[in-house]
Amino acid sequence: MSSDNKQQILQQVEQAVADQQAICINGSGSHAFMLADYSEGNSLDMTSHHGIIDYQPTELTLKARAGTRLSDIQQTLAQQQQRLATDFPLYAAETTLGGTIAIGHSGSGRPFLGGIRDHVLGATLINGLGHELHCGGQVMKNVAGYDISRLLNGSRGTLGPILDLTLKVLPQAQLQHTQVFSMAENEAIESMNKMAGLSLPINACVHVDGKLYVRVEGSEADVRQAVTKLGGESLDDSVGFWASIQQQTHEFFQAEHPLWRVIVPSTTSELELEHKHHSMIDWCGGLRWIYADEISQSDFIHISNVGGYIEGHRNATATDPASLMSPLQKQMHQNIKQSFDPQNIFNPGLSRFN
Amino acid sequence: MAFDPQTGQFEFNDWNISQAVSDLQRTIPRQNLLDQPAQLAPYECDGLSAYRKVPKMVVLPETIEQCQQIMRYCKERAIPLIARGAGTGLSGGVLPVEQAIVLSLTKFNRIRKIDPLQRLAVVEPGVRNLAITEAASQYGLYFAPDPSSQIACSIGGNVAENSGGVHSLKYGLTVNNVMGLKIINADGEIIEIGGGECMDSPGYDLLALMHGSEGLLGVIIEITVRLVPKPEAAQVLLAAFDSVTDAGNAVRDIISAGIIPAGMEMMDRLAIEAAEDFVHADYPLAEALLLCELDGTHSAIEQQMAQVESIVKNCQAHDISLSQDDAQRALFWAGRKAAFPAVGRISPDYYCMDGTIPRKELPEVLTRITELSKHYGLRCANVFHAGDGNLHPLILYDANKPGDLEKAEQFGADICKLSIDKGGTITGEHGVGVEKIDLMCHQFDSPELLQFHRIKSVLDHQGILNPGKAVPSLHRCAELGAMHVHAGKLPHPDIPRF
Repeated sequence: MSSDNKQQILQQVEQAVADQQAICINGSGSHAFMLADYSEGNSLDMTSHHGIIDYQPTELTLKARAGTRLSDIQQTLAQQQQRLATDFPLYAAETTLGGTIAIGHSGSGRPFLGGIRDHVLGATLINGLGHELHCGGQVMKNVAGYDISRLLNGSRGTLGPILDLTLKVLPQAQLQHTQVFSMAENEAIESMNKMAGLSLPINACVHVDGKLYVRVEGSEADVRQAVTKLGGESLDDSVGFWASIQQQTHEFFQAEHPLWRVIVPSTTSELELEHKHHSMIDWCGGLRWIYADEISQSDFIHISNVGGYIEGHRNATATDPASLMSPLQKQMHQNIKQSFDPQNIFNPGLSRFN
Repeated sequence: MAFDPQTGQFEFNDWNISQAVSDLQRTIPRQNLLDQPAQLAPYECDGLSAYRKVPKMVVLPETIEQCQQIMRYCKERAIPLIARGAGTGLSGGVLPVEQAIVLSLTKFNRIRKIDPLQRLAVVEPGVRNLAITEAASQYGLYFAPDPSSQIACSIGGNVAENSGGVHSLKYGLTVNNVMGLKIINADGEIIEIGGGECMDSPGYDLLALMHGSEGLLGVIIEITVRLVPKPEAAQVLLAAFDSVTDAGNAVRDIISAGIIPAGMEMMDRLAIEAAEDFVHADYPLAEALLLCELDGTHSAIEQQMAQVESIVKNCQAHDISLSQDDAQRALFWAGRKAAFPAVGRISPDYYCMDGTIPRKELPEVLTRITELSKHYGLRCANVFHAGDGNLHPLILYDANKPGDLEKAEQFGADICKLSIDKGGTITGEHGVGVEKIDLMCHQFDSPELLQFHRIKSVLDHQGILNPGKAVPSLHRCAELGAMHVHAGKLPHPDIPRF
């Protein structure tokens, strides 16, 4: 099942460029809960542009239209005993590839397997001049021209609609196992960082509900040896557990309080925020999911002092990325935005850099 | 106008050296301002010595403030500025241009911090690639990208070029192993890019944009790199083949079996002969040689190596050997790592190319290279990072023979065009620099080139940072007749061409 809607998308963008009219780029809407209202302008539907364009298992590359559901890509890869090269968050079943890159969040494999941006090899984009740009390619190494394909990571559609993306993919691991340890947050932070420095095939560490979960993947021999070295208790449904983290269907994510996404250096000790309920740790310490009714000024300062930042995720005030930047960083973003979209046509509600 | 952002054309005014020395020595020690011919000579080229130009002046700042002052000085006077690391680049990326000041960052050679628990290091741009690994080794950690020049090349240059290496299939390129940067922009201000010690940052992925930008968007003054644990063990399999196609099939089958080797390299007959003659690595003479390194735990290597061995046998490999210890592993690699100098011994000059192709195209591309070699009457030795399809054909020529260099360049350009036709790229890891600037016209259409210029112009209005490199002007492409014309229509007739 695929549908090539490129011509219609191009026409709609060209019309908007000519009319200097805003365009609101819509995927499946599965990330809308974390974004401010950006409905200004005519809606550009990307979900009708979907399907895998080229998949070469022996080349370890897959090219798909932006509106392709991530779950469809995962299914196709699984048929060849392959998978996405790192954990991609999957906030809803209908989440698309384009939306995932535009948001730029990475899943649990981030510290070990890289972020989603690390596995983007190429992209086709329409910029605010109405030009179709073919960036990067379908090969593993490519340093010709500026790396626009990866620049799009986290762009929230503000540089233009992404038509398609090429990803590096990997073979499935022979075996996956998860070891569980009961420990408090600070002890877990130290343990997971220490474990990550060992020469073991660990590729995810999460702490939730008083338990540290450590995922090991590799050949059978590798996994057995790692499990013996690490100790802990074996988790029955390893695959199910990690899917529940990427999909945010784990019980932790079911609370009603405002949920915040906090990025900090991985060894930062437990964050004591004023109105905090409970929290979990992902990315081997580098990502903290925190429930808190509100974030006080002193919380912001505390997080900033440790070198991190905080943004609203679910049931929380949507955070404008620009508000997390220094004036010079903001200016640089504004300049880049200007170079792609001089008339500020694409998702103006999501690019308030000036 | 010194710089036309629409076309990427530039022209800079003449400036007075003694005036600049007198101005700059107020803040920079006189001995760090080089203006004498003997002092300037080492800066006339990088690793691509076919292109040379003595710079007007070289400045060696010792502090970040001094770097900022030089940048501001250049900005105020519209003087082009070329940041330079160890000068080991292979594409003429730091070739001086008319009126330019070369900003050498070699004095920024300190490792500021190693945090073993967080597995990261904060380093200055002039630190050698291998020095990071050496400093981290006491913690059982290392810096994964390992370009062949790692003993000498600097980390700042690695970022500017987005360097790879023999282990990039498994461990990624520089862009995949850097967490944050501090840069000085064209206004002389310091900006933090990326997450620093964090694994994410709000907004666009500017960290990726800076990687491989060849010094055109800012001067890198600090890098936070990710360190990874040293694998418990590593082993190399060496296998000979009677045809390059068989070796290519073996590469394909290894990947299809779900194995991601730490490194997978191929050499063809001429490269094997040259390397064997030079370092005596006990390479069997054959049409193709495959080196396949696995790393991880002893037991995992044992298990997977048995698979690899059986795969290469099925692909008609002969003379298969496995390294028995680290010394032998180093010997097996020695031939491959010495391939460039080895080829240098059998020919007065060689020209190193750097295309990447989809792996499945390997046999056809190599056959075509053999035909081109006959056509131009120049020998060509092939070494390549087979795992990620990155080819390094070494074209042998004699610069003293009239017309030979031009033939070699034409041969190289044909290989690059072949790479593009096969869905690949003109440069996998060496960068565009001045060497491949014309070939960019083949790789990209005018909309992409225009977008590159637009990015450059918003970050560097005057175009003073490393002008004339990496991205060709549309004018230049039009002159070369290399603009792509689809379906008989000239793309974007609204863009001026001269």
